[in-house]
Amino acid sequence: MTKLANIQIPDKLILDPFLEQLVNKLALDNPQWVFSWKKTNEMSSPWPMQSKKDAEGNNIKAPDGLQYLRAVYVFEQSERLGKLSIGLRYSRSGSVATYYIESWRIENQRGARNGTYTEKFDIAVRKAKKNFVRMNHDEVMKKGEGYIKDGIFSTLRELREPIYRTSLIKDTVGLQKYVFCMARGLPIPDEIRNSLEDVFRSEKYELHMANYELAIEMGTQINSDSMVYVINEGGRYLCKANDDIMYLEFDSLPVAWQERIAVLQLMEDHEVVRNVGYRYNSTHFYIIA
Amino acid sequence: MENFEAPAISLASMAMLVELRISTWTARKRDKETTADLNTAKEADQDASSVYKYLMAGSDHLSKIEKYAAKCRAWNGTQTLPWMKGIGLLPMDNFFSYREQLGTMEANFNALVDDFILAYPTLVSAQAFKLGKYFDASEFPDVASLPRRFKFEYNFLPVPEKGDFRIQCEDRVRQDLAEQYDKMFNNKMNEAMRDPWDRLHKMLSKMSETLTDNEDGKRNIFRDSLVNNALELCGLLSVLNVMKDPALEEARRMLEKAINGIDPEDLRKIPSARAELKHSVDDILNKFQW
Repeated sequence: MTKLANIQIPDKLILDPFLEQLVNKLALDNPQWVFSWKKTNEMSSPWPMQSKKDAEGNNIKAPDGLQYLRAVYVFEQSERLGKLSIGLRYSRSGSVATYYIESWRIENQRGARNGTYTEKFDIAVRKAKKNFVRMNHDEVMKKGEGYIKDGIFSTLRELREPIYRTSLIKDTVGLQKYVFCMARGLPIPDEIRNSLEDVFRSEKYELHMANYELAIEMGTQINSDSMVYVINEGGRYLCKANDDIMYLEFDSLPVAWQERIAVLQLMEDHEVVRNVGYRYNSTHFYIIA
Repeated sequence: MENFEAPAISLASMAMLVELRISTWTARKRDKETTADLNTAKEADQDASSVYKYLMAGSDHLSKIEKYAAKCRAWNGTQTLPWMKGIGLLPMDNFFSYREQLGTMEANFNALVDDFILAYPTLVSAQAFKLGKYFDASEFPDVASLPRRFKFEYNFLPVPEKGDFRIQCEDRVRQDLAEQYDKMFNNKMNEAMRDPWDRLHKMLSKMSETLTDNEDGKRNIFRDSLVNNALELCGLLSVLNVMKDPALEEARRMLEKAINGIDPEDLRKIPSARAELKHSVDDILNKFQW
């Protein structure tokens, strides 16, 4: 069995002979792809997918202590391109071993949503090569944009939540009385005044109010389309502003953007910074243009 | 494209030279007897033709290695810029990715060779049937000598910028040699810097031609690679632009912008999408002096 450098599976596993020919062909043709599988107990069996008999008529089995692996993931520079596996297709004439190529690029209306079956080796090779393609900038941005949007909306909701829900003021009736008296110039009962003003003067309330203001301000910025999505991809920056996608070195970015990214790089994940932007994680940012 | 004027950055710090040498056992032997018979039968001189036999006929073990070696050489050509015969200029931006893939290729090449050597004694016996009367056991090399018939070697070298001639000769001769070297160096550098432009021009011309509908309104047939190859080239050009030529970077960005988000299926179905992309590609072709 050929031991190729870009096929990385646990020692206790060997590729099923049916899968091996496909994986070997793809591994040699695409040295940038890494074929790996980490789980030792899943998708493996001591028996090969296509049963074969040896000279004495016994079914061939994996050598002692080893199992035949029936699936591998395919990666390129830590991006998962898809999965290759094998199975059986049953028909009246018997069962036939089939390849299953799985990728998010394959979109079926019926049957397996993101995969395709074939019995033919050449077709399996072609389908894998066609679909196992790294995401282009547009696709990376589309995916990243989704993460950033979900992240910022949930962060802004969390920032607004304490004020929205008046979570620090338990006595909402007292609050109404307080406002009623203030609006009509009536004397506010001391009990209500003291308890509410204690809350209003507390540091916690001040923080919640500041967060609320920040969330509202940021929400306005988002609605005015003045934001730029920024994704750090392998040291370069993929930016989307007004539907234009750019892929630039840090030094080529506008200085204001460089400064904002630099600030966000020092922050924690899911942090919003006034007049700067939002950090989703160490590589995804949403900055004010 | 006019000769590229190098900005004030040193090539030696931006790139290195890489020499990749891959050799395989050819398993080809001249069959003197058949050659003589054939030439006699054709009433021709003895050097009029030659018959070579392929000792590994009918077996794909060796051809797999040969094909793999060819693939590695072709890959090396895409990742480097031409410098001298067998030596490419490797931009530093591409070094780590190149080195990693080269390492995988070397390991895979050696794995294929190990497989072949392991199977060799069996293969030789099998060749007796496959070669018929051509078979001569003495022509097959000894299994112990096989490993040295396969080589996968590479060397990384610095780019020498000035002719360093330490020879005992007159100053005038030494100066002549240094000038000659500088001239050669500049020519090589211009050639190397031209290569990315040539690749881009070839790609754009091909795209423009393919995206032009026929006179009867039918589109040309094209595969997804029309877009995928262009995307791949965009990625490669960003690292092959050793001297950071701004015009090349601008052309690369224009192409990247034009093909970003383009689905080949849409290009096949929608004539206006083809026309729009062709327009963008032609814009790039017209903007620069190739």
